[in-house]
Amino acid sequence: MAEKIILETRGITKYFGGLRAVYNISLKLNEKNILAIIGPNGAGKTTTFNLISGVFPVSSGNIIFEGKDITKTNPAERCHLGIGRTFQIMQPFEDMSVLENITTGALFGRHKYSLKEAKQKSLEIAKRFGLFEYKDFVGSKLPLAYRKKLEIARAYATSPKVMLLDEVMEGLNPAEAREMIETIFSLRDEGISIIMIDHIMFTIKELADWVIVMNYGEKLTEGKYDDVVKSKEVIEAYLGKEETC
Amino acid sequence: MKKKILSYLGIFIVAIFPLIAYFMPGTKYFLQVSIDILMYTILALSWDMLVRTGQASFAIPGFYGLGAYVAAIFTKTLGFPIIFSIIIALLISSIVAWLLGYLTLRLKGMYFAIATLAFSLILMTLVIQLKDITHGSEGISTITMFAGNKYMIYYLIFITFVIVIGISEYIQRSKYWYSFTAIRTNEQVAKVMGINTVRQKVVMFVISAMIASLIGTYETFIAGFIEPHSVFNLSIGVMALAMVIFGGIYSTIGPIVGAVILKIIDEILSTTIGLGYMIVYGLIIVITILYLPKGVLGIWQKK
Repeated sequence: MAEKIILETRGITKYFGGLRAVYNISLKLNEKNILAIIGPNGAGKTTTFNLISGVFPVSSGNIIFEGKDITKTNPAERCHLGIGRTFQIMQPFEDMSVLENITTGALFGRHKYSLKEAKQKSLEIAKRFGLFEYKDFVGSKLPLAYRKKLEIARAYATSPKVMLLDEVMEGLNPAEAREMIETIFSLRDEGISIIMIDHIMFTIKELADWVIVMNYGEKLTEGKYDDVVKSKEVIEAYLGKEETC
Repeated sequence: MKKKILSYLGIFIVAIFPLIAYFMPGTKYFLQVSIDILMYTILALSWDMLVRTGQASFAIPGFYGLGAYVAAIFTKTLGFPIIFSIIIALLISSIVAWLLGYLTLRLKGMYFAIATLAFSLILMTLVIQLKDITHGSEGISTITMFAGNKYMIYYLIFITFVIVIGISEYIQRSKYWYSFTAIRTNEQVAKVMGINTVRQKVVMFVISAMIASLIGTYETFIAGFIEPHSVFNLSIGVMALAMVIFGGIYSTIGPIVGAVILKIIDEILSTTIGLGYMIVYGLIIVITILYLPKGVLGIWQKK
């Protein structure tokens, strides 16, 4: 493969006290690719995101970004390098309008825009993600689909090279999901590499270049979507379980 | 625009107040009260600026007392000029605040409040115990500034007041409003958005501590005498907090309005009711906080 790896984890592991949340996860994200992490609830997907974005330090293992070891850096430094993320439980800054939320990302992200530039940027970004008419709303008062958009817009405002999208499809109706898929493709086309966590299989099928399946904090298998869903382990651990309920 | 005119008018009135006081009976008394009000306004602003990052500190009495004592010891015992002892007090306070900040600013809410409260109490205990340097609970008497000229003192504090307003407004209009609000509402997200949250909080803590310390040095040179129980008085911290909440938190004008109103009520009540006035005073604060959670300014903003 001639593709360039932009982000790589080498056997990252996280213990919370005696609890093994994530064990020996190695993944490679190629530039301008979409990598999906799937798995049942509690499989350690979000914890993996927290390790990559630096919210938690790893217990062991290494994280390599653009060829440099960033394992020891803090979340702010990783943001400055170009790792942006959204949160599954949407967390807009209270006391701030939609526009101010986005401006914050532009001010302190990779490019550290001046206040004037950041305000300008945030208007453009609000338009791009369909948030313009809600720009003066307080973040927490937005409808769900718009809060998801705000999460992405705010992360995008930090000018990331890699975006970690944590369940941005969850709770969206089919039309909104369609729009979200287009949004993710447009980010990819702009040159942003993406890791996404999701449960909704049809979106994964459409979006993902590569799929990693996690279960009980470990990597169960990985591969192309079509191969992964045929794997017996995956059907047992994930799809099979879903069919029964 | 109207707001701007009103604030300039306000500052203008504060600036010419000594002239008005000059023609009033009891000039000295009015000047003294207005000096007190301005000093509390500055303390309230310094507390508000820090709480914008989500950290409610009880270190104000600690740094106020530290400033007061360093100033007194350096002028009285070591014979330094006033201006040098103020600079030294600010330097020492900033170093102490920097260390204390790195140690405690990772704590949040109640834990940070208690850690800073402990700092204030520990400093007071140290000052009482280190009798050789501080004369213990007897206190220290030292020189006064401007030979006790109240007009000069008033203008020194007025200049400080204007500078502190400048700092506060700079924070409100710059990128720091965004980072402080982000840190206050969700520190974890703020970090992921590229904000170095610990550094920002430490810098603000140091600035806030230096302001409290500066007011402490003024107290020393206005009164010419200090003792530990008055300069490390926890009620200084509580008053600053009450003024901010009374006036309107997370703003420049709120703490000023709160400090002016509360200090005037305090003065009127203590001279008219006398003993037990604190009960009425306390009631006023409680009722305001219950019915005006956004402070006095909340009424104005609703219009």
